[in-house]
Amino acid sequence: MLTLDNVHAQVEDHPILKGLSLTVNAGEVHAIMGPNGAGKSTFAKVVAGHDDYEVNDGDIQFNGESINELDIEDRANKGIFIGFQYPTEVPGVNNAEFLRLAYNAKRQANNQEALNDEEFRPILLEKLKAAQMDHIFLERDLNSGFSGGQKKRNEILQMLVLEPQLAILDETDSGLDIDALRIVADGINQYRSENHAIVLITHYQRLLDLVKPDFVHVLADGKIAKSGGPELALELEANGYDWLTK
Amino acid sequence: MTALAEINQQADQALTTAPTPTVKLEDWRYVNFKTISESINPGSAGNNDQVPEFLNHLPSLVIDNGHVTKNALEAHCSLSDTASNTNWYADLQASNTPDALRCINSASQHINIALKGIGQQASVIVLRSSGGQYGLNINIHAPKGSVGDLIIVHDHAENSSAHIAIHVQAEQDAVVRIDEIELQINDARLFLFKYADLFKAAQVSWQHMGFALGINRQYWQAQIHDVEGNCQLGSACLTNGTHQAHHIINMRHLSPKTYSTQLFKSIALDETRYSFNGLTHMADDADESSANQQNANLQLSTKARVHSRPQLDIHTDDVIATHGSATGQADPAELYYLRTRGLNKQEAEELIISGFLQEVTGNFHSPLCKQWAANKISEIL
Repeated sequence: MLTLDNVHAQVEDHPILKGLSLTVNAGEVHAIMGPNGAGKSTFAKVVAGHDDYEVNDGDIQFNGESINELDIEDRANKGIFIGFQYPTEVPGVNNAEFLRLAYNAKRQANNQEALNDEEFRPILLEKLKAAQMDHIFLERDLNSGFSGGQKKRNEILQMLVLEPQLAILDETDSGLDIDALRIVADGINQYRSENHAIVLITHYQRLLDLVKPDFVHVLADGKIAKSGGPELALELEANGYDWLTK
Repeated sequence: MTALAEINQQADQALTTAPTPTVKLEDWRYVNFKTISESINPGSAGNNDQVPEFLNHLPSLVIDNGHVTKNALEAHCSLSDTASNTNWYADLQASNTPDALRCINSASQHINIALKGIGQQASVIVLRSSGGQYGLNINIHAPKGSVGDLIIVHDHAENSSAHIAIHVQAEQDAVVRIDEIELQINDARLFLFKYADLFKAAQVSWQHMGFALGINRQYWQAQIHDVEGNCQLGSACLTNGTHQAHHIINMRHLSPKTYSTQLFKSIALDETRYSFNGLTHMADDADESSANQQNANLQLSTKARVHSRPQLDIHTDDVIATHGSATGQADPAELYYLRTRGLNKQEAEELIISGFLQEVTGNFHSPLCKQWAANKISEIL
């Protein structure tokens, strides 16, 4: 589904990704771990198509098609979802209305008719229940005044509503208490299927206890330093990154 | 003469002596006044097609070019014609039905309307001119304990030059909620003087939204005379072309335990000018009062200009007073976030702008006004 082939990327002349190669297939859950500054969030932004990040070598393919030149929204509408580490607050924009607009953007990109509020509401309520969120969040402004945990749960709600093929979740577990972490993990596990692929960017084993990864990768200095199974995450938890980066 | 009468007299004087803006008097030096200075002749009547459709579903009184439609008058409120055709006194409180007062006047008329009370449900005033010079003075008196909602719609034609004063007197425990809409005006000059006087535990919420606006200068003065008075002022302006809007706010806390908020927002496109000059005054005995003043502007063109001057004038220690001002462009982080959800750049920008203004229009009391404003913003963007 997603293939990065020797990707080099930079922001403002600072090279960050230095030959990153990774293949993620449908039905797989990958965890990307690594020390601070290794390029984990840059990986997510580069796949998303962030304008500030320039891919100066290598290729990113999604479902066999190069997406290097695609705009952010085109990548999203093809089925790539990015869960933000720090979800942005957008004051004055109603959460439910925003979800409907995003849902319709994807439908229209796939030559389907947009849904009105009445048609969309049952879909939204079903996903809201799956994300274990209260109705009140639909009437509030997008992420505005939400606590850190509420923002992360709202990201999961968006993922469930938009039903992307690939979800890259950037430190979705950071700042969550135990209960919130369990709810977020429940949402991810509900989304998990043989048609979907998930990339979890995380620092901690605790999320991987709840969402079992198929593969674990260590990103260091802009490229994959080591790949393995779930046992690699346990090893990292016990020994840190020094043994890999020195 | 009571203090209130003095204030009213001062306001009347300010209204009558304020000059019609000219190129010489205008402080802004970088505005193209050519089209405005050429607007000598009265233009076409109003912007009828822009008047919110929902107003047509409310029972209305019509004053059409100085003539009252009698049937409508009897049905919905008592209105007495005084010495001349240019003065009416309407007591909307006497009505048990939703009231609407629709005032349509021809060019160069000067009218005084006094609303002695406010009805239980929304009253509507449409202020319409068809060009030329125009003056209007509205006194709104909310008696003790009354609750009233008012919708004011400005519908002025091209080439109009209007001086409009609106006085709100909210007596003890009165609640007055005003939703004010200005429709798009090309080459019109509008001077608005808005006065609110609040007495014990009175509440006034005055929310305004303006599109385009010609040359528009608004002076807001709210005086909170007695304890527990609470005044909330809000404005959202969307200007394009060479239109300009200038807001001067004077929020005066004159007693202990008085409260206020000011939320003024603008979107400056093209070569527009917007200025915010806001003052919060806390008098010597305004202890335990609180005030919040915010001005936020989106400057979406390199040729647009925004000036912001938030000010606090505090004469006692035991108060909470905050103010803030921010002027900038659409937040790139917000744009990126929305685009990752599938919205294209234009859709994302429109949503951000709409949301930016929605923080004010969301405070409209009338759901119909709220929805209309949201639709209108979408339509313009």
